[in-house]
Amino acid sequence: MTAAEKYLAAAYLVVFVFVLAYVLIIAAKLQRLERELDELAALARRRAPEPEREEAAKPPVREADRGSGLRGNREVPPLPRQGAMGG
Amino acid sequence: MAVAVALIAYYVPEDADQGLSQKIFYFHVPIALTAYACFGWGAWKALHHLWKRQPGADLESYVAIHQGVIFGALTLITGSIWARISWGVWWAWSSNQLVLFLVLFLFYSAYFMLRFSVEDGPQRANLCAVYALFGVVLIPVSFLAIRLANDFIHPTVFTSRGPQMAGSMFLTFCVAWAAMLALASTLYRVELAGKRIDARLRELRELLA
Repeated sequence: MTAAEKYLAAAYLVVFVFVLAYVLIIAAKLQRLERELDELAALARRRAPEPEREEAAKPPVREADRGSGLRGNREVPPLPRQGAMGG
Repeated sequence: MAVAVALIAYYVPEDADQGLSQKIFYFHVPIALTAYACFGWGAWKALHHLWKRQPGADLESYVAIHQGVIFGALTLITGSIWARISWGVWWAWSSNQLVLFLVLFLFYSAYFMLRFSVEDGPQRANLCAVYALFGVVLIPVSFLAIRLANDFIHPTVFTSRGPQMAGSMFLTFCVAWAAMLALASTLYRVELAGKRIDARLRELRELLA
């Protein structure tokens, strides 16, 4: 292997190592974010009151059910009286 | 990137003057141009922050400058290796191009000292944006230094008469540059997404605390 070949390989290796190090740092950061997100989700679940927790456990309302008046098990809130909004 | 490496390794002919060592050119110059592009993008986003008060422009400017510094460091390292083969020295203070690029690199490296020495908030965003805009002046100076300089140590490949190289060499150079820009763009998006998620998680943590 000539000196030129060695230097050329070194230059390409440096670029590769830099990019690899950068990707590894980003991967480590994403792992940390995922861990933090899990912690926050657990904290939010612990803090939520009992009825809200049950609500969160229910399946979401399907888009097709919205027009037909079906709203799962949720209560439909009463409409505000006229003039109640001020003005 | 794989296509660029394959072209450099198997397709492009060796330079008649410098031989095999000239193949550093296909990575060194695209990396340098990508660093300029990152600094330019960072300054553009800084301008958006100051002028239009675009939300998130400060973070985008910061990430672009971070990328620019990484590519700048790579430019200096690959350039030094090339200088060692071609000129027999790791660094030449007599070359204006090298010194100006080093000044540009150090200027943007100092950006992080400024950013992390001021408390997070609108004041920090404004200071950093002004600093990033000042730095952009150095880019054309650094780019044109090679043409303005009287020394002949650093080769000039791109002149007013077009690229002074064979068609196959220019094609390889263009592919390598496109690959480098794609790499920088991908890294920029990934880092920006990470920073945005980090900021939102911090907000959420404060809300839940």
